[in-house]
Amino acid sequence: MRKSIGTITTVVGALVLIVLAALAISTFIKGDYINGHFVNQTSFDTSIGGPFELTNSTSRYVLTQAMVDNHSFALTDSQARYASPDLVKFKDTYLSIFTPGISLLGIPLYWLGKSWGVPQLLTYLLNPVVLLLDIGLVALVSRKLGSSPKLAIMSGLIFAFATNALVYANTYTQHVVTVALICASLLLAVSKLRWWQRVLLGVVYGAAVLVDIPNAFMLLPPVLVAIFKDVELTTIKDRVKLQLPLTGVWLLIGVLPFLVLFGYYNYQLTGSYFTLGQFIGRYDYPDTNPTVKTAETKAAELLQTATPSAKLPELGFGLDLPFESRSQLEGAHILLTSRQRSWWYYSPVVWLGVLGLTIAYLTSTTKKTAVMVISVIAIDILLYSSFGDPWGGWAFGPRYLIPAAALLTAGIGTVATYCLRRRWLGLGLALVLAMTVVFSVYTNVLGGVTTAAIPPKGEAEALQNDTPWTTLYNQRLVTQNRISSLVFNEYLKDIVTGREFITYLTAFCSSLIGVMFVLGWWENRKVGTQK
Amino acid sequence: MRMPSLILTVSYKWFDKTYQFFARTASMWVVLLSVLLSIGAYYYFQSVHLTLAYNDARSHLNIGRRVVEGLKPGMAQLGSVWLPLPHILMVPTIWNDYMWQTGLAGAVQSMISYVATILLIRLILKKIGVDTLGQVVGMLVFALNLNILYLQSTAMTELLLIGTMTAGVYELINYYHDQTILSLIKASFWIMLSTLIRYDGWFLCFYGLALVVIQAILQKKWRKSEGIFFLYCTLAGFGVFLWLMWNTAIFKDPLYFAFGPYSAHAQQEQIEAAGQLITKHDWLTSLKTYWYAMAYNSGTLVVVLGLLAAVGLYLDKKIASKTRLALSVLLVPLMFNILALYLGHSVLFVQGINGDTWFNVRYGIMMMPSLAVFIGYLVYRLKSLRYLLLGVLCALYLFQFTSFDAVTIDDGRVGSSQKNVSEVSGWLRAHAANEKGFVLISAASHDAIIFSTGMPMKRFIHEGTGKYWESATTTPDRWARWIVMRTNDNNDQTFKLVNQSGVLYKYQLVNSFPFADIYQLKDEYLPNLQTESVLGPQR
Repeated sequence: MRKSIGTITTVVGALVLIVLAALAISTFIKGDYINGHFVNQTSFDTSIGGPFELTNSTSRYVLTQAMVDNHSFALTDSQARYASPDLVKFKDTYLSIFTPGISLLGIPLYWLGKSWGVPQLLTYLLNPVVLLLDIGLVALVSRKLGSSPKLAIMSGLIFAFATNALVYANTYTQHVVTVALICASLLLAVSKLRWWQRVLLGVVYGAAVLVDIPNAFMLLPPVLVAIFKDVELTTIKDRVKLQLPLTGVWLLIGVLPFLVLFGYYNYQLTGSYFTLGQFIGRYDYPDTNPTVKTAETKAAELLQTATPSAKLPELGFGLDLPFESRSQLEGAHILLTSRQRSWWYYSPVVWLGVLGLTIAYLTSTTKKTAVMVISVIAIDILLYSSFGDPWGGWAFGPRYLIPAAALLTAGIGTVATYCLRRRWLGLGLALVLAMTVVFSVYTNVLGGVTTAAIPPKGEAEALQNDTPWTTLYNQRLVTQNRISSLVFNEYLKDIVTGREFITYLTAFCSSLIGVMFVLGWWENRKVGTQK
Repeated sequence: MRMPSLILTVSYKWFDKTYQFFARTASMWVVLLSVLLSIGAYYYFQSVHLTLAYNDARSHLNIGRRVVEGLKPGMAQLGSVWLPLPHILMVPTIWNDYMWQTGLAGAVQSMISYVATILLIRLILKKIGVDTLGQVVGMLVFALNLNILYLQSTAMTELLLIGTMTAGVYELINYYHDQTILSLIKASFWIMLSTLIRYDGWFLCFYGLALVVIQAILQKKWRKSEGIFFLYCTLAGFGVFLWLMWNTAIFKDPLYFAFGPYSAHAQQEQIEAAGQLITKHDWLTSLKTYWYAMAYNSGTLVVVLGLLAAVGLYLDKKIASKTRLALSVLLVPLMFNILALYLGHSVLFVQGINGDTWFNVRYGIMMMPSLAVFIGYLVYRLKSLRYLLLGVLCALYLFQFTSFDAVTIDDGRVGSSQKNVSEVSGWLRAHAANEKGFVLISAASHDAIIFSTGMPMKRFIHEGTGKYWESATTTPDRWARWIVMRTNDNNDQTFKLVNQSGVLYKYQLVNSFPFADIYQLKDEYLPNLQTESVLGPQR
């Protein structure tokens, strides 16, 4: 009886949490409702704060549109105009510079939205829904790293509300989907790995490649673990035996359909199964109407004319990758320490995860998972610090490090579990966590309800119109009451100011995390007493 | 559902035998593979005409060449600007035009040093108990660095210095370990050689002395220590002593190399006067500058991992404290370079700190063997993360190769270390090579031009040609058919002296180039011109 009450409480509690989290996330959905119509459903308004403020969303959205409306992977002239400069022109065909994964995932939502007259609104729901899923997946990874259940959920909530994942959940980009796929692959790799789990891991890997090419590298650690898990080297009497089970075949079965689909996509656009849009190079749509251009495009053009670059004669070994070791010094600085993008300024709470991963690494039961998680984080940082544009264009925080942020926040549950079982450490952690969580939540709420398009310092200076290159930009928009939230614009605009709206949202999201922390404290206090 | 397995079985005996064979012959394989890498890299950089990109590389080759050929050949041509060992080592091969003009005479010693350093990294790692994988990773971190591969293909002095310093470091560690006089003698010998290559070696010499003294204090065997102290000083300091004597004998001033008109000090003074010696008396900028230089040369990840590993190594109680103390010698290049920048004895420009240019950025490569040792140790200690480390290092090196990221090449091609003199040397080749008459030129200012013409050294009258130089700068019209100089630049000794002679009107300016102008004696003065080396052997 007592057990069933406990189960019912857990289920109800989980449902309440899901509803509250969903409610919080839905508050950030961008849009406006004017004269009985949702704006941006048939047009592309590129102004700051809108769903089409960044071409990395627009380019993917027009691809979804092309696939549903025109039954084609190629973009029409008008679609190409909006996708530019995240556009490729191959012979006479326009294609999105991005891999088609996100656009494919958005098809059912676009199709449904179109029949209801809100295609943009519904298509963009993809990422908020996946973010909700990410909370659960991050929590599961956190459990594998040694967190107690409640604190694991707290980790998931921290990821959702205290990192820039919140901001990117309201774009049509790859980041939160990538997090879901990475977490899924890690969870599969640490499981018993029956044949169907291997197939599923293949599916996850294939889907991840389709979502974004660098995922092929970031998902390597779990995939390699799965491949080599059953390799055995034994000595029997006077012989050495190496046994390689062909379990990789299951993985291949899972990956293959996605590779075929990717090859088909490439073939339709370029006539080759292996020619990817990304490797052809960007194309600026020539007669782009100035009103169509995003602020980012305009700044990039200004910067280009301001600093003509000296070109060296070509040298090299004939293989061209977008990653350069020379960029690493500046890239690592921009992503990890700079005022422009780093976690120190956007989500300082994330750094607590380093302690959690260290604890997990030093604990024998969680060591293997910790090694895998650390590997994915290291690959993420290595890849994007070597990338020519570590800023991620006009962006909010280190958007390329969202997968790393997810895994580090998973570690926060671990460090919290460790500290809460030791009274004074628990108190110290509570203080640090409270401060960093509130600051991180506030910063990302600020971004979530305004804009994800903060220029890099160099471009902001090129604009010469006093555009800030930090979250001051978002604060300025709030002061002007330029809030992008649909809920605010439709229901709350006349009741609260933008600043009050942000304060209430910060309080609500922080409270959700705080409640889980308190529950976790209680849970671990009991563990401590039992011991 | 079960999948079939691939099963490979071999007899343990065979497995063990094969393992033993490779363990026994490991050094041979290391040398063989390193030699192949070294030759392959030289061949590649030679084929893309980069081995002589550095102005300094051509000057080094010319110094070696002047010892065996010219109007005044001999050891005095070793001069005072640079320490003499690299040039002395060139002497056996530099007489050959091919070896001189391709730079191979200088590259050979760099290539041998490259191979030796790889082997030494393995030996150091072995000494501190690092396993085979750690040793292999350590060696590869050094061997596959594109900047190292480039510099070992040139006549620059970096690899020779790295080789001798690493040998000295290895033997010092040995001495701390086994306390034998033989190790101390070997360490002193290699350190002595390094003091004859670059002044970095002098710092190592002093640091080594400090280590030897500390060792003596720890042992409390005072009489023996006294002997060891003098033995080390006599051997390791012999190179420094010789150099001071050399300067006294040739230039009448033991510190001519340090404060003479062509010294680094004089160069630094000019740079300081231009307000560009920003590291002087600024610890933070010095540290930042060398950090950037290391990161650009070795790769940011390698530096970060290496320095983290160094902290781990120095705190590792599994390694004997005396060995850890001896291993501190691996940080000598870091200490020296930061100190030299701070004191204003060294100049190093890196993009991001000094505008958009490079100069001497290759100094950052000096920590490469130490970083390789540290990373080898890291791979050994962090067993659970070793495959991750391998993966990220592989990715880093892949990116380095695919983006052809070698900052030392950029410095040589477009930085301040390059000097494209092809136009001026091309003119001389076309108009002077097959004509009679000497070219008056300052080797201190225009050695790259002399080299690039490919003309015999005896066709040039420069500062090192004794009476020819004295005569030609007072009565140029009697000796020089062509004068190459930077007009109106008193730093160019030729201009300074010819201008004072007052006979420049007898010459016509035939061409102006970015680095120098060419003057040719007017036809009416040709009958009085001396075109043969009539002054006899100069001493």
